[in-house]
Amino acid sequence: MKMLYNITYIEFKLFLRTFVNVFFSLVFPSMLLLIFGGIYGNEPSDMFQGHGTVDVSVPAYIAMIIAVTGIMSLPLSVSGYRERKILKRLKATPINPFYILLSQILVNFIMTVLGMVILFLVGKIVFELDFMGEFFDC
Amino acid sequence: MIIEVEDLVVEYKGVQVVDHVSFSVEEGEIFGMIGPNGAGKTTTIECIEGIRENYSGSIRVLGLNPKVDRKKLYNLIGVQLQETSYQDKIKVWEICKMFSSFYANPLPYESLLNDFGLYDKVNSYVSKLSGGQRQKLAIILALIANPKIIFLDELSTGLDPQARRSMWELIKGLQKDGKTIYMTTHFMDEAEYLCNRIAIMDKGKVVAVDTVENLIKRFGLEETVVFKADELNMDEIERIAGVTSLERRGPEVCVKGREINFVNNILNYLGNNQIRYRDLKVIQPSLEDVFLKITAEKSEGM
Repeated sequence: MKMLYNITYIEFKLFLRTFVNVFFSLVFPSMLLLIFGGIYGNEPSDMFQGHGTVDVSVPAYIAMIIAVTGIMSLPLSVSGYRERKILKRLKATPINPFYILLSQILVNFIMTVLGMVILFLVGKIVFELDFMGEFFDC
Repeated sequence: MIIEVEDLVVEYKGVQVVDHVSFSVEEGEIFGMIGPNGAGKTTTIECIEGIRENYSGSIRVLGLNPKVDRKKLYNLIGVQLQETSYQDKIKVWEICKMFSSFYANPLPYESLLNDFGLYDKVNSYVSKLSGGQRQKLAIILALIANPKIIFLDELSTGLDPQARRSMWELIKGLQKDGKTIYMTTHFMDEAEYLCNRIAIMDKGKVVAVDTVENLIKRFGLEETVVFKADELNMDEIERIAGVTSLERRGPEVCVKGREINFVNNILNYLGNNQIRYRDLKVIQPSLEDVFLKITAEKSEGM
C-alpha cells in the first residue's frame, strides 16, 4: 500500500507540474464557460427547450474534461513512460505493474472530478446554473 | 556462485543474438563484460536482471530464477539500465523517495545522496542534472534496495574523463562494501582497472572469460620495445632470443617479442655492445590488444 500511496502522490505532483494537463482539465472548461456564458447569458431559450446556454454547456464541457484526462493525459503519460523506458526501469523494482497503472488512473480520476467541481461552481456562482440531476442518483 | 548462466539463448527474428552463453559470477567480485556494439551484452544483462523473459536456458541469481521469483529478486539486486530517462519534472528527492517505497528494507536515500555528493541537488529537477550527476543518481537508485548484486550497463558512456574516474572509485568502494558488481562496458581501460574477471563477448558468443592477466597471457601477445638509436646492426638484433619482428623507421626501432626475458635480452645487447640509445619504452600488451585480436580473428573468418 505504501508503494501505491507514494507513486500516486508523486504522480499527482507531476500532473500538477505539467501545464497542458492542468490547463485543459481545470482551467480551460471554466474559461470557455465564462466566455460563452458572458456572451449568451443563462436566460431560458426556446432553442434549448427552456434551458439556458450555461445549463446545456456545463454537461458538454464535463464531457470534454473526461475526454482530456481519459484520452489525452492518461494514455499519453503511460505511453510516454513506455517510450522513454521508465516502465522498463520500474520493471526492475519489486513494484506491482498494476500499481503504476492504478496510480495514473487515480490521479486522472481525481483531477477529472476536481475539474468538474470547479466548472460546476463557476456555473453556479457566476451564471446561477440550474442543476437538474441528482447528485447520487443511480 | 552468485550468478549462474547456463546455455542462454535469445532469438530475435530468427537470429540468435545470444548464442549458447554460459558463465558464472562469484560473490564479491567485479565482473565485466566487454564486446563490440551489438554483441549481445545488453541482452544478456537484461535476461539476468529479469527484464527480458523470452530466452531459453537457465539463469540463477542468488539461487533464484529471475522469471519466477521476480519480487524476491528485485529486493536483492540493484539495476542501472543503459538508457533510462525519468518522469518529466520529477525532483531528485521525489524519485528517491518513490524508489525507497518500493523496497522492503531501503537504505536512507539522504545518506546515499550525501555519499555521492548529490545532496545539494536534492531539490533539483532530474532533467536539470548533468550527465555525470544523472549517472550517479542511477547508481543511487540501484543502491536504495541495499542490494547484494549491482548491475551496471555502460555506466560511463558519455561521461567526461574526470567523472569517469570518480565513478570508478565509487564502484571500487561498492566492492569494498561487499557488493558483487556485474558491469558491461566499451572501455578497455575501465574493464582493466575495475574488473576482477572479464568476459569477452562477440556476435552473441562469450569468447573468453578470465582475469585480465590471464587473458593477455593466454592469447600470447607480444611485448614491444621502442627506442631510438643511430647506429645499429639490425641483423644482430633479429637474432636476439625471443624477437619475433623488427621494424625501423628512421632512427626509431620497434622490436616485438614474446619471451619472458625478451626485454632483458634487448637491454643486455644494447649495453654489451655499448650502443647509444634514447627514448626507450616498453609497451606491455593491454586488454585492448587482446580484445582487438579476438574480435578481428572473428571478422576475418566471416
